[in-house]
Amino acid sequence: MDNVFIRGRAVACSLGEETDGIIERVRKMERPISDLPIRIASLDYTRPYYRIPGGDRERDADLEKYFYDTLFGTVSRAVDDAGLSAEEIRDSALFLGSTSIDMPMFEQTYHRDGEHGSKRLSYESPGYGKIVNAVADRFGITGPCYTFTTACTSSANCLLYAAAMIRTGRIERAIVIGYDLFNEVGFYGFEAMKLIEPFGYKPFDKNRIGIIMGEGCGAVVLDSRRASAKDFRFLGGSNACDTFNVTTHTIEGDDIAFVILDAMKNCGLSAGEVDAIKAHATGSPANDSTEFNGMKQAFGGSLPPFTGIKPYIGHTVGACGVIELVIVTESISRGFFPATPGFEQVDDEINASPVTRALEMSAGTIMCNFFGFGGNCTSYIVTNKE
Amino acid sequence: MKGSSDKTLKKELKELIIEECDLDITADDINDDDALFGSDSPIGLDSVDALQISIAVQNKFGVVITDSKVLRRVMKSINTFADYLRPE
Amino acid sequence: MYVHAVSSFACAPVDDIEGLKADLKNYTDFFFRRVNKFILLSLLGVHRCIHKRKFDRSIAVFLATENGNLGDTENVLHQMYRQNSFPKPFNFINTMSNTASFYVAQSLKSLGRSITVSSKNVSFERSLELAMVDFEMGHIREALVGGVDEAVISREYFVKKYDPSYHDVRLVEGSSWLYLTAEKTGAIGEITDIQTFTAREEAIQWARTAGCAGPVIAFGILMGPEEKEIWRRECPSDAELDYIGTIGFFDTAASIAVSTFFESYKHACLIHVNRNIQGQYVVLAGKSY
Repeated sequence: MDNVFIRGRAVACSLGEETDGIIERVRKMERPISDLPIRIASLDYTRPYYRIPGGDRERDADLEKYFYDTLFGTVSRAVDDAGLSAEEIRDSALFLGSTSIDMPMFEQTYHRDGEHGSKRLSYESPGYGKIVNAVADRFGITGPCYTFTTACTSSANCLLYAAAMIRTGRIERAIVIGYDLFNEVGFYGFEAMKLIEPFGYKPFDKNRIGIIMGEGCGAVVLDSRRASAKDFRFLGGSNACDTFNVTTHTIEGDDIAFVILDAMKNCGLSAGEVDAIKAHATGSPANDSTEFNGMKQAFGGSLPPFTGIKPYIGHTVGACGVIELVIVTESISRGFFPATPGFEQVDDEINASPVTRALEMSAGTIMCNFFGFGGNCTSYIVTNKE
Repeated sequence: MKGSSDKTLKKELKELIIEECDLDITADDINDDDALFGSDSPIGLDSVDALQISIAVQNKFGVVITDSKVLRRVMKSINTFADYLRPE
Repeated sequence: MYVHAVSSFACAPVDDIEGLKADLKNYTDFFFRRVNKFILLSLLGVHRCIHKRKFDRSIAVFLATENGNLGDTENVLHQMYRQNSFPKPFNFINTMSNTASFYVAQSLKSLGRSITVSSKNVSFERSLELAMVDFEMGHIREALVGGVDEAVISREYFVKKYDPSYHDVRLVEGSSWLYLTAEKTGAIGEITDIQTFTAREEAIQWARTAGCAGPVIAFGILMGPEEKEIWRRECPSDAELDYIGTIGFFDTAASIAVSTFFESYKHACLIHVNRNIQGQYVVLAGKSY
């Protein structure tokens, strides 16, 4: 199979659940955000977060049901969007990338059931594979199931391997999911590491302080057959581990540059053939500068326009590999490459200038980059050019 | 008594650092004026160590340090750290 | 994918990780700080496998695990909900299971794939499939593929989850790895293929042709006594490798079946039959030289 198409897609995130509406809000550069209280260590302050709108009552009443409803709803919309037949659904492979998996439910058990809830996780250990199996059961899918837990690159790596499996003929199609729902381990963990930006998201900006987290679910159907001539092709990419430090990357961005170049090589593309880059752009001072250093090294003087998607929806951690892909490709399908909201002032130390006004673009070859915890670096390329 | 004059407090701090940062040394190996962070420090802690220690200190002494720059200044050495926890 | 070295590490449940640290020092002088049991198990398995070998800097790491960093995840929940504390950064970082594959890569000073993957009951087989695809695409030349899991704590839950016939099996900490390359020269064997089936008949049919006549057969944890009898009858073998009975069980124990086969049998074929809770059969075929 030479071609792998993004045959269907759906997202649930802070901008809503309906693709047309989400992309319209991206066009208008809307950024709905909530303040969540820090309810730990007897402290009293708030930090911003991008929540999926509505459903608060449902979430409070039955967290587990809300968790699975959000997941199944997104998969169901992606499958409809792809126009898959019952047989095609049944024979699909399933990939899920997530950082937190079913952590929200374990937190609730721990919190609610006191000592009785302690050790539940290690005693029962349902395994990372539980969630994706639930999707298989719900949709009657009999293909192989894979769960990737590589932190912020989880669902980006799912896409890489799903596409490679289609290309080598091991599978015909895959439903690839990225999912991370709000959980206190992640939220408080990031706050404990002083990574959260309190004043509004501004990747690459001189005054950037950090990351604002978000929750979301994204699903795409990768297939050897396309549903419409507008479908993007997934060309491939690369993954490698930057072993500089468990939380940060080589300062000069050497390993990031290596992954970017390796991704282009694997796709048979030269630097001049990449029209634009969706950067990881977490907004963390260290991450943005190492990422930009890596991009400069890889592209030299011909760095294409680049943007960050996280100011719209937050850093959806393991889910961002799928969610940001849908937002970028669907924006281009509607005629534009999204801008980076929040960016105002160039940081003299790195001199990075992301796109601040949406570019007119209806056809493009786009590189998407993800550089996360554990040194995990992933870069992949998609196109809707013939 | 200032923190830096309190041997018990300083020993406690050293033990806390060794425990939290998983160091393969004893409290006697850390001098009170040794730099704790950076390349000229004999134990060479990093920014994640600083955050780890700050949460442990928060839990043990009830002292919250939210600003990373303050954190770095306070944790320059065992003496500065002890003085911050007990100024007089 | 050609097998050049293997490791089969399993031990009784460990409370104090100092012993693991001391053991690791026999294989590498790399200095590890802030690591936990899961990470140490991963490192021990890898360094036992790759010890004193020359490998390429681009070596890929595929770590299969069913449960990941259970211990530190439990620690973080305890800190938050019992001690009213923020998660401590090191514990928080270590809840992300890919920190284990990070430390593996760091200790090897490699710049290659670093993938942590899980698939209920068949995580190890699925990780091998990912490596296989990368070899086939020419994206990698060398890989370390292993299964790592902490010992199951609750025997009661274990019996509830798996076949009661295994009620007295030893529950162990495990980390078992294969060093694979695209090069046949110097190899001790190969992983021939892995296939998934929904129907038993098809799985048996495939297993009969995938191995040589009279293979060594081994069964995963969800293969109950009746199921095994059918396979023994329909897919005749020369020997049965009862790794769960002799070594013990951890959630990615299929990895130790494969490594033990390469350690114990020369000029033989392996058929490892695993089932998952969806009732599928995942059959792995290997060959030793």
